[in-house]
Amino acid sequence: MKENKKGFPFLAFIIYACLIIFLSVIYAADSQKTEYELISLSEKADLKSLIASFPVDPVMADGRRSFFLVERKYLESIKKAGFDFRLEKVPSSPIPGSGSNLNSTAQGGLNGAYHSYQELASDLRSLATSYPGLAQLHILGKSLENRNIYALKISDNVSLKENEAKVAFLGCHHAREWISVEVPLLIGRNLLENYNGDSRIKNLVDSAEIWIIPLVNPDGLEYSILNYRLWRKNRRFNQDGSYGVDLNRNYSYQWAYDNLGSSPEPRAETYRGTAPFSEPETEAVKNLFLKNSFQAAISYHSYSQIILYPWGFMDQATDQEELLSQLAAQMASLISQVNGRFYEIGRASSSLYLTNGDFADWIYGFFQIPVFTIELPPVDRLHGGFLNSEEDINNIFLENWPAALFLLDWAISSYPASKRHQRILPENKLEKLPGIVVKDKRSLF
Amino acid sequence: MLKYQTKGMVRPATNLLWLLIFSASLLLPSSTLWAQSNLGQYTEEAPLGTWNIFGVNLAPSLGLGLNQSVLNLTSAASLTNPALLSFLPATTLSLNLSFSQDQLAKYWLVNTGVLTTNGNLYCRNWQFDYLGISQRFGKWTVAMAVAVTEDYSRPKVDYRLIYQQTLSHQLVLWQKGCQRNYVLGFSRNLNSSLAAGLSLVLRSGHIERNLEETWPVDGIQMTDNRYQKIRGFYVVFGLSYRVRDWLTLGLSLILPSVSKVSGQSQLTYKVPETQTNIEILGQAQDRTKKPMVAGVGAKFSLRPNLDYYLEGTYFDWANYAFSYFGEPLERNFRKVIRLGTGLEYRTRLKFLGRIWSTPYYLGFLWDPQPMTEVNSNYFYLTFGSGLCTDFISLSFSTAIGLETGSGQHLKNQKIAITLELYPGAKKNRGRRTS
Repeated sequence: MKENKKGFPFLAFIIYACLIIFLSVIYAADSQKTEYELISLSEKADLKSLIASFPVDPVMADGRRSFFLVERKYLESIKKAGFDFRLEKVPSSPIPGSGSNLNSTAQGGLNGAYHSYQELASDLRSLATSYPGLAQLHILGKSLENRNIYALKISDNVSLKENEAKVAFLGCHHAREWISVEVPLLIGRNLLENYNGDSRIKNLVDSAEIWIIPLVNPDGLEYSILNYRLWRKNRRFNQDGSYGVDLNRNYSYQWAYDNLGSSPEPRAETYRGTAPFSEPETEAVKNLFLKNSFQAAISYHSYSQIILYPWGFMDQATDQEELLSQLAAQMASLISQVNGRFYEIGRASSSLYLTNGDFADWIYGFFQIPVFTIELPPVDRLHGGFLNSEEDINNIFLENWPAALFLLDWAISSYPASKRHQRILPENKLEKLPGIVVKDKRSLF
Repeated sequence: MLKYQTKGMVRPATNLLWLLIFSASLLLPSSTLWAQSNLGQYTEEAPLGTWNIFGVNLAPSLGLGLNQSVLNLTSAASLTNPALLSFLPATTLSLNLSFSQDQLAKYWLVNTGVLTTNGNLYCRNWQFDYLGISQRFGKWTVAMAVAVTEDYSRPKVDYRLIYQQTLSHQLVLWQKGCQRNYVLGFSRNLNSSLAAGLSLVLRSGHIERNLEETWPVDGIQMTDNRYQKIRGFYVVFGLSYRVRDWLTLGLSLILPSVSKVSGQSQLTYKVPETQTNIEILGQAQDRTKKPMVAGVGAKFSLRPNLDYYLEGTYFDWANYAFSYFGEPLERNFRKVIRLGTGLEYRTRLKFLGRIWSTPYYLGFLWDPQPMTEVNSNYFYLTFGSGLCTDFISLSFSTAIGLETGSGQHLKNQKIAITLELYPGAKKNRGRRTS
């Protein structure tokens, strides 16, 4: 008995230790044992019959392969049915339903109701999954820090390239302009959500290919959320030790035209980079526009409440100034009818400030299509500057919604005529284009 | 038996000279230090100095190349290898005062694009970072301690732009925080040469970050405040085995754990003139998955007054995961093994009418950082000394770390002053061996 008494504490200790270790291991175990797998198939595969035969969720397509979420138990059956798929690594950002143990419960984290890169990616995937026939998620390229530049294509027969008008809505060239992510995203969401219930929306979606690129500068946006709210540029590490290139000074048309519309100084807020399209973010946008003939585009920015049209690099009119100003005036009128907020209109160079190498000049200079930079509210920095209240997100979207639909309408109605001007022009013809002053022909590309 | 057994006596004058030299070394002027930090080291949640935190370093440990796995000199062993508690005097009370000086090059807004400094910045801190007691009950020893193991402070920055004698722009930022560990440790002598131990550790901490930016001319004020409360629990397991009289092995294992982080944030933009008051409030429940740490150490008793320590510590950083205000943030970390070695030489001297043992510590540590973007390594040279007798021990050590790999030449300095009391020493003499 004496021996037993002595042995008891030791035995209890061992049992207790084992129990604690066991429980800790269980507690700490990574619960990422997802039941789902991400698979990809070539675009050439019979995706319709895959979708019809198996419970797969389309996630996105990058132009070469289509990605689907599928329960692991179906993998064998899909293989037996003859589908040649590739098992993809599940990305680190959480896929809805994949069950990462680090899933956010933070709707309303640091950025409140605004979207971070991961929240946006999740929402875009969700839209593409929820409307597989109408929406397809594309990855235009990667940012410097390896984030995706997403584009949501919206159209009927979305997987086909149809002979339809194409309109692009872009946001967040500048990191601190959080509202410029929300407006194009909400345009895309509302087009999809109202497709079945609103005949006007249905006609627009059926007659056009609408490209939503809400976040051109994901690295900058993340820095703006995590570190400094007023960060503007991307996250290029420059040779002088400073950071960032102004993406809206990095397009090729009249890049570095002067040092007023952009800066050669890496530390400057409007640093244009070492060369046109030196940044992967602008390169990604360029490739989209070179592969598709667009009829119109809007690039959202903030702040100032102005609708701007080219030129930005010099204070001279384009050959289509009358059309551009008419379209801008129509949009401003539609905007003011919603909330009574008045947006000015004007040529970018004279209404705001000189800009060279910006998106709008490149689009107009290269493609000769109506393109607008819409500087969203507020009107000045005393009323918030680059910050908008969360409550104002929907108001700002709602007032811009009819203007976006108007431009879509216009693009569709003018499509046959405008299409003739959409071809990518050979280099030797560029100088003959009216309204274009070419300093360096190569710079257009 | 005295705490430190030595064969011969050294002349008091020689010992005092050494003590003086070691004491002076603690006062190395900070201005002679230069340092580097690299992108990835000082992320939001990074502790100052190094990612590889293994318990708390009291003076003997710090002086011996941060060895912990087989160093049975203080109750701080409960944080790394609780089996070693069995070899402490019957009752111990330990208190540690530490100073750390860490250089940072890039963190938050500093040198990442917004604010640029001419050189690296320092973060200096004095703090009581350890208080612990241990008590032996037969073959069992129990320890309780509170230890500050991680410091999240950052150098405060106050940037002012004065134009035509008017303050036109001001930006003030600071961050502070720490992690405290509340430890309950047990150990048991399994036989004359083998001991096992277990510690239950409650992790509690906070990080507070504040940015305030004003444009006084326009009356614009922008603030960004964030507060995170950290809670977690982990288990430490340890073994100590005296293989031969001259060889003792120690094994320690800190199991992987998950900490819960509750975060609150407030972003404001105010302009009284236009009654603009924009406020974005955020809340999040995050998780931080801390990796497993395993240490293996050996003590070689080369001579009765000379011990050599060797330790390797494995940090499984590849399994580290972190989310910040709801966003899982990518940390490209690799597994690392930290190697430390130390030499302890003991002499005796007569001082204040008593015989004192005076240990001298010398150590070296190679501390590779887990970031994969940059192959960053700290190399530490450590040294220290002390005065010990039956009922009290006072030790002091310093470590100087130089970083290579990132190009920023960061430097760290640590100083630890440890006071240990042995209230039951007269009744329980002879238990403490080293």
